[in-house]
Amino acid sequence: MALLEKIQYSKSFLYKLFDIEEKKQVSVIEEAEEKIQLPEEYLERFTLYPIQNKEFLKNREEEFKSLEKAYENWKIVKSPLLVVDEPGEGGTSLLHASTYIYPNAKILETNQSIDSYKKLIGLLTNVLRISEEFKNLKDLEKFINASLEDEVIILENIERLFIRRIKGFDLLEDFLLFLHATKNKIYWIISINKYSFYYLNRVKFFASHFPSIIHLEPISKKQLKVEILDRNQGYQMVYLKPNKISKKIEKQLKKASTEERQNILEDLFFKNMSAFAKGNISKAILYARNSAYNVKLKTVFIKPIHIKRVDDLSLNELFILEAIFQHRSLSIKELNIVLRNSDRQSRLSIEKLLERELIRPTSTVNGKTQYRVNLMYLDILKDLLRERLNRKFR
Amino acid sequence: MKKMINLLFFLASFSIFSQEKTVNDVKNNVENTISNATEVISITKILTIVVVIILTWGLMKLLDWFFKNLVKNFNRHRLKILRLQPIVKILVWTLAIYTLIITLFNPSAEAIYALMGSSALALGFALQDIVKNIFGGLLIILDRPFQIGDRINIKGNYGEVVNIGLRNTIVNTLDDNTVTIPNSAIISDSISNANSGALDCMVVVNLWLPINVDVTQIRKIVEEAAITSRYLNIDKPVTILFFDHFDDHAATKVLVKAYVLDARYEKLFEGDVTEASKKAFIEVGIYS
Repeated sequence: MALLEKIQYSKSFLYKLFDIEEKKQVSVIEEAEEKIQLPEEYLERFTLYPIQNKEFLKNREEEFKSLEKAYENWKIVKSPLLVVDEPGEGGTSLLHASTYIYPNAKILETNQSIDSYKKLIGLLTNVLRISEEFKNLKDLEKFINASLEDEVIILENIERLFIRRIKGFDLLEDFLLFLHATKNKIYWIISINKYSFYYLNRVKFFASHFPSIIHLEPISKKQLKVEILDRNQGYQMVYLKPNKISKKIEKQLKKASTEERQNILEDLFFKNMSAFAKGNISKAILYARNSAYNVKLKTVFIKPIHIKRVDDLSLNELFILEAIFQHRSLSIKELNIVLRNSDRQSRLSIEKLLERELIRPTSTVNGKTQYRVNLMYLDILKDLLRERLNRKFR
Repeated sequence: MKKMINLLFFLASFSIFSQEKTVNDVKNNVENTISNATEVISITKILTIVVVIILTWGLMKLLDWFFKNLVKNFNRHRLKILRLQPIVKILVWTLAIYTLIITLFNPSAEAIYALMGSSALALGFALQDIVKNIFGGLLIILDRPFQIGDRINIKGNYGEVVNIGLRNTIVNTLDDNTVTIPNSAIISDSISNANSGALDCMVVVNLWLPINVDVTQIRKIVEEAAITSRYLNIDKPVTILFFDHFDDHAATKVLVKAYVLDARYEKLFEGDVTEASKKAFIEVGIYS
């Protein structure tokens, strides 16, 4: 942790200890007015998208080795594989890029919840290119075992198959039965969000279905720096002094020449970025994008952003955030079901969270709006859930 | 005549001398008393007493405020923090009393033993109940059958322990009533403690159903009602038990034993599980 952050942390700790109110943040409207609009061409470089090719995916050699080994194991013991990842950690990229191991693998990804047997069967028959229609999973299972050649299916975000309600686990449990029944014919590679894994593991012993589990490792600081520098290629990077800075660095900057000053500020920026991202590539990209203060011709001015603290959420808001964490994303309707709330209650709470930018809306294929946690607040919110809801996840 | 005059002169001089002696004695006595009194009750000592009492009182208030804020801001460690509070407060009081005795009297060891002996006798008779309560309080702090923040049931009062004082223990019941129980009564009674210093506690939800229900279906419903509740501590197990009752009329009693994430949400959890189960029972036609 950078010295400045340590000081800030200690200060906040003392403020918290003695219940002293910290200075209020600048209002959102003012911040929005002050923000300089950056050119689209530059912002596009920071778009988050999954990488499809192994060559472009750096620092995942160990995971690739594990994937290769798991595939070899399947050929002998026919056991499915589970990949546990955190939002933005690069789970999708890893699975897509791993298709060099099994080039004919079929990827089943959906950005909406799979809440009916019909929808699930439809997705499975579609990905397996089966034209017959099936009434239930049992019929499909019989068909696969009778007529299908060996297949590899990558099913992303298995948490989409459950909803936290009475009878909300039926589809997931039946799918797991289907997975076990077809594992001789299909090599199943399943991915799950870390928090859903924690929840399902506690209440449904989810991990016991998967003899092989891969947990994604954090990406090294060095690699994160390379990724950000790559995205700024063609631009001259000028580092600006952040708004909050330690006296020690302030002194160093005063004594330093222009070139040395830039080196100090560059180090400070990447240190702050690494501390924020904690090995999560998407978080590092977002941090860098939000730190881009201005772009003039081919020069980008970078000023490290300061992430505001969030510690005044109500219990109900924390429950909403936890539900979103558990399902990766939720619509208002789903939220009503999960939390047994009224529609109005959910809408009001969602609006408050949206206003504070703790969650963000995403649109699904069928035009429905779902809400997911803003990656910029991922760790802060996880810490809050741990602290206030007594959850013991890492 | 000469003899008479001599006698009178002798008596007069004796009387004057003896008066002078008495006056001197009295004067000396008064001087000694004043000197002793000023030694015992000097302005410095009075000021010392006042300052020590004010400081102790201030420190107590500061400690209360400090612990209150610690609890507010570090919710997860709430019970550990509250556990320290009575110990620290008793230490502060002991220190204050010790400081006062040493500063004012600076007694020898013999004097302390004598004082302890006589005061024990006097206190034993005069302040029997108070002493009982104080020792009860010390026993509670040392023996720790419960801590501040625990949910206990004592003499039919179930609630959260909000303060363990030297004389009384204060329990806040689920109806938000404050019950003050003398410590002497607590140590002589049986106490049930729901969470014993842990943040979570087990909650038992009772559900009554017809005797002929499908237990497999009911088990699934109530288990899922518990595991989907926002208040559940998912790190601990959920147990479902069935009992048949044939008292007034035949019925199936279902017990859902699960842990709530924070003992403060005990009743909310119970209500949530009951509500969700009931809705599901209506959906499947168990309740009409």
